[in-house]
Amino acid sequence: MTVQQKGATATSPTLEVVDLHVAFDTRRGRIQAVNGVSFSLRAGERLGIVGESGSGKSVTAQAAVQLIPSPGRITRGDIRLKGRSIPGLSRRELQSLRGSELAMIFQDPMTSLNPVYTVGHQLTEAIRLHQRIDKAAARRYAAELLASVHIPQPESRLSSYPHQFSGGMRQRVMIAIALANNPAVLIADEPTTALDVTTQKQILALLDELCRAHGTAVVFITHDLGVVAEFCDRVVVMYGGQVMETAPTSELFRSPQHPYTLGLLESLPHAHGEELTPIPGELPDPRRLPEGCIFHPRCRYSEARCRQERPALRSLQPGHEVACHRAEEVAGYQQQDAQPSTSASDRGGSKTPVLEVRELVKHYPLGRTGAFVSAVEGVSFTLYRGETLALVGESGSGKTTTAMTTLRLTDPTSGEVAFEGNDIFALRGRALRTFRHGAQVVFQDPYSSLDPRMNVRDLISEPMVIQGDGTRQERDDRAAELLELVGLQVADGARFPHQFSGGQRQRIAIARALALHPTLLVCDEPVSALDVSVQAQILNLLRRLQRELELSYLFIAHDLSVVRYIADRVAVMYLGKIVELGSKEEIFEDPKHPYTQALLSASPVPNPDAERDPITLGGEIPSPVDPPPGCRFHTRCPLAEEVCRKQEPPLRQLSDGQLVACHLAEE
Amino acid sequence: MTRANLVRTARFLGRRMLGLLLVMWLVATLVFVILRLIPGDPVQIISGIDVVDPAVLDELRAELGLDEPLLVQYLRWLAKLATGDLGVSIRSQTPVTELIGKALPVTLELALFAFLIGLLISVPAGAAASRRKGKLTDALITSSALVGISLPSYVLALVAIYWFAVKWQLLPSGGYVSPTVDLLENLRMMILPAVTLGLITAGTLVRMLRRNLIDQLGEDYVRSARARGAGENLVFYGHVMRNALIPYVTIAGIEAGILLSGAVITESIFAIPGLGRLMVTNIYDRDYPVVQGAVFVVAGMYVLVNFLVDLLYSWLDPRVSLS
Repeated sequence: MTVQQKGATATSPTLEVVDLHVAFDTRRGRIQAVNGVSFSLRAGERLGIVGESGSGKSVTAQAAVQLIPSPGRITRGDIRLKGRSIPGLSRRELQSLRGSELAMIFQDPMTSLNPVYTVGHQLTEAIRLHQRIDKAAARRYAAELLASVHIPQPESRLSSYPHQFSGGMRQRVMIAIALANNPAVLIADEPTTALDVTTQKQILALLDELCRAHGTAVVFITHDLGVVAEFCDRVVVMYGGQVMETAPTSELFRSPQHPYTLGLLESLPHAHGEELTPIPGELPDPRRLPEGCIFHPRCRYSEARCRQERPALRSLQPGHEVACHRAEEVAGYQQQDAQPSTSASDRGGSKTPVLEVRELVKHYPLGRTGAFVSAVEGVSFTLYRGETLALVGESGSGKTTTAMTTLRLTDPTSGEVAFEGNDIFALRGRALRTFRHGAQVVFQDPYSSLDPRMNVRDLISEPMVIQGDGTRQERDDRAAELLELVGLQVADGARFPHQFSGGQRQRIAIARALALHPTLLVCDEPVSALDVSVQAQILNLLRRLQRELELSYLFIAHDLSVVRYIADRVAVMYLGKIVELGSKEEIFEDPKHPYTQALLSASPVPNPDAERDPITLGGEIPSPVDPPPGCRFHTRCPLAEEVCRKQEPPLRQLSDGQLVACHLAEE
Repeated sequence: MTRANLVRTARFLGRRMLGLLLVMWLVATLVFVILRLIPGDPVQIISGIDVVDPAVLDELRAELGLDEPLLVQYLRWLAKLATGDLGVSIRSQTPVTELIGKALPVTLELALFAFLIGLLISVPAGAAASRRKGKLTDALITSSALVGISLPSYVLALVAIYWFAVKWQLLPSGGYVSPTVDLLENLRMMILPAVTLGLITAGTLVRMLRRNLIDQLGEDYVRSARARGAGENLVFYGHVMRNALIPYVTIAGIEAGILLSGAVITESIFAIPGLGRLMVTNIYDRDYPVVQGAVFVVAGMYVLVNFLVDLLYSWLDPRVSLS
């Protein structure tokens, strides 16, 4: 298999999308998912398409391979690959194009492989669909491909089934399949969104290596501005099915010209601690798109013309296009100076403990085999009144189990949890009810955590009904008060969850959690299901509520930028243990544990000019059924020594108060 | 197959055999208990109310072993079962094993034909309906399947007899000849009852398979296969079908079990001397040893079919391991 450059000459674009329109005709009306999108991709170039949900970015990609889900169809426009019009191709021509000239990988590697066939079967299928070689040769080439995506023992792994691979490994297999026939263009639709950050970093590095080696052009679709900043040469920003702005990556981040791009960048959580500037309002309803400029209802630059006239894409500078009537003014705008920050000490930061967790252990037995999942292994921390302690870690780190145990939603294997001085596992009757008043929870997914058959007033009142608090009238009054507190209208109480957007639902969930006047709120990934522009609204709300009500937050998150914004102190977890605990400043500016350092380095930063630490963790998170002896991190640690393999490092205090569990950490 | 796999498979089979024995023991116990739970004196009921002579009743009681303590009766029942002895029919004085030995092959043949017809109809029909979802073909197949499910078997049987046997005189209206005696006649006699049962079985299976196939067609791996250039036939037969067959096999197993336990009504209408008819006649005759034996054999069939379904399942789905 020789590597040949399939890209066309430098002058003509490899992939060209011209005035693309895609519509879904449904019973409840037409959804114009893509509305006049144009862009082009040169050979070997990496183009990012960024947008929030409903922006039409995925549908645009699906249109390029003619795999738009029914009833969607292209109503106008063209997509050309090296000059050939794709919508005009016959079915047979399309099939020979897909996977050879134009390949695609998708978001969820867990479901993108057929579970009943081996990885080798699916790889050789991809090869033999486009290359006339026999089975044995295809299998040899498949093993080479697995090796090229850095899967160990590629020969024997060909006979493995998808369920025997981790998520990151499956995405490697998907990449191997996509690149099997050396395509000119690879379309990657949120390829790392379902993965942990350290795995994401590995996959991005792999894509970078392979696409560079083969000269493959990439269309990278994502909602994550940080990933775009790291991976792409040029960015298209989409909103409501239209292109808002196109520019080279560094220019877009440095001097955005569209108010939406500016708003997205400003609403990203940052380190400085001041209020975030969210984009006001909600994402548009695709069935009722606004007249004129589609963004005008949420735009602070909006004027009469914007409400009537849709702005065309135009260039203020070569290579930088923007669809805004007032782009000149936006371009001249300097991003706001930081407002005075409120650090932990300013915000009271009292030393009254609310929650004290001591040597918490939680094992889940596996059948009667005697084996168990070591989900949490000796976790200790204290949460003080009015502060936010973030539990950070990748999947399987035990952060959610820890939080659920501190709420007594599950019983620990051993260890103690004291809430306001009382052992919560010893509570009975009245005392237990007092605890339930004091500690409440907000879950990740506002779509499934609210009963769709209850109206909002009943949802918010339910905790009071369960606890037998107040009369009907008092409960309704409290519900109304809570609705206003979280920024909704009293009249919203009569409506049902499906009538609200994701951000509004999360407000409802927060109002419900506050109904019983808690002092502790456990927030389990409360913003990770939300779009960036809405996420900032909820983060601001949580901050304001903490200030006004003196709440303590146990905040679980995997997104370090969110943690950096909201937390006072941070506990980093790995495989059921806290490896490092310290103030936000200590953890982010002077991390002592190699895992914390790697996690920070893997977390994408929305600044293409940022200096990056070159730490990339190898391997995978080991199974919590059979955790490594000694330091649990030693199998992936770049610094590991003999002592790390044998002896478990205790969580020890450094002179500045920071806690770290590492033999090698220096003061 | 590697040596380790072989060992694992052997160990699995061994464990499943033990499981089968356990289930059969439970069935045997249940059959024993149910007979003893009949209200009143079983001997009186078996003899009929006109028999009042205590000596006659005692004689029958002794003959059935009902005069002994319950535990002794139970152990004796198990001991006889273990040697393959199901007792002797009260009416005909023939061993129950002999009666079942005659009826079982008949039911097996009928069930096999009916099941094959069910499979041969449901797989292509389910495939066609799912690939043309929402189109006329789909509507026709789905509604015919609904008719198949909702139509009682005797209606279908009687309609079939009226047209094929009475009106056009193409096929016999009933009866049974062993295939070893006259194969052609045997097949002619089997056609109507097998098709009747097969159509009804197909009704359930078609709907099931269509639903599975449609669900599978929406899965991410289908999109991935299309994106690498797989044609629709490869996507459908090479990827979707096997996944859709996994739940289908479970339902097909249950249907096979129903067919093997003897189609009581169909066998009666077509005068076929199978297990179903054997059971019904002997329930009327209160010939409990026969009923007992037949129930035991039917239960055994169910267990065996389930075992086969499990084997098939682990072959279709690599995520289900034999251990």
